[in-house]
Amino acid sequence: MTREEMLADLSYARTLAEEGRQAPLISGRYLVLFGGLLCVTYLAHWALSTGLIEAPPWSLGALWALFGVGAGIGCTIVYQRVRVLPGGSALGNRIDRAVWNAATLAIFAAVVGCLVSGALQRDPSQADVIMAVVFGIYGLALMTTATITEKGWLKGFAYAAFAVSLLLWLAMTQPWAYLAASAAALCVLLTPGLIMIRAEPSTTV
Amino acid sequence: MSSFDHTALDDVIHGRLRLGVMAYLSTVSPAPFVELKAKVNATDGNLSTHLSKLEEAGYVKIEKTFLGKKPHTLVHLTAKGRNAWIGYLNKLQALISAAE
Repeated sequence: MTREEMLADLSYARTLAEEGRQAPLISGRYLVLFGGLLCVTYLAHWALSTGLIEAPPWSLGALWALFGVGAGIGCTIVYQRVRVLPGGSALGNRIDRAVWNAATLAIFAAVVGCLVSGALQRDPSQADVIMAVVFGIYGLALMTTATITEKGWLKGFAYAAFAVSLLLWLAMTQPWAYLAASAAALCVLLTPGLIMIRAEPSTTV
Repeated sequence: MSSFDHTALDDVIHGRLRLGVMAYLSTVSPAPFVELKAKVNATDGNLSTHLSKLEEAGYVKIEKTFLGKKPHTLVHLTAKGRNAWIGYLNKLQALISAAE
């Protein structure tokens, strides 16, 4: 074997390793699912809480329960598609999954904590904190994925999520905060999700 | 006479197809069998033969599962395989440097 042949083998190995390292992100459908669901749910929450739609007080609870059911069904459907896409075990996708799984737990803790605390102190406005917290968590998850996978365009959405979080902290208890969150869900979740889907590999395995 | 002694390289890895398998698994592990097959442009039989050699050496682990009702084979790079891969690259780099 000559040096040239060995260099050619090395180049071949590098190409394959690079292909694995730069595998497209395949979590776009989850972002689209939650971006769409949150947009509609925040909008409905705003309409109910401002009296634009007249409904009994329990309707807000029912709305978020419906969101939970929709998220559960949606995740099951998305998982069926995502699990057969190539590149799922690539480092970038494994980190992306780990980050969003951790983000989900952090969001769950914030939601339960705020709701229980609000109920104990008879202060329903504590639930308004949730939005500001979760957009900060979205920013953290998006920034981590963007950094690890070297996808600079995703960092812009992460910064947007941090800006939305700041706005929602400042606008807490304002009726229009839910309307702003509805628009923000489209911007920082649904839009990057659509971009990821466009870059997804078309073949399934 | 060439000073290039390729016999110093790990024989289990040093074959075009097995080299490709190890390179891909170094960044995507576990990789589905069909994904690996597409990446290294191999036939089912050819890839199976080479994976068996890597498995015998303890460099990869084959896991047979099901996706719904369809069989789904996953190929994992083992810790021993990763060490062998790093060792192979180091040796290759040393050989190439020595020949410069």
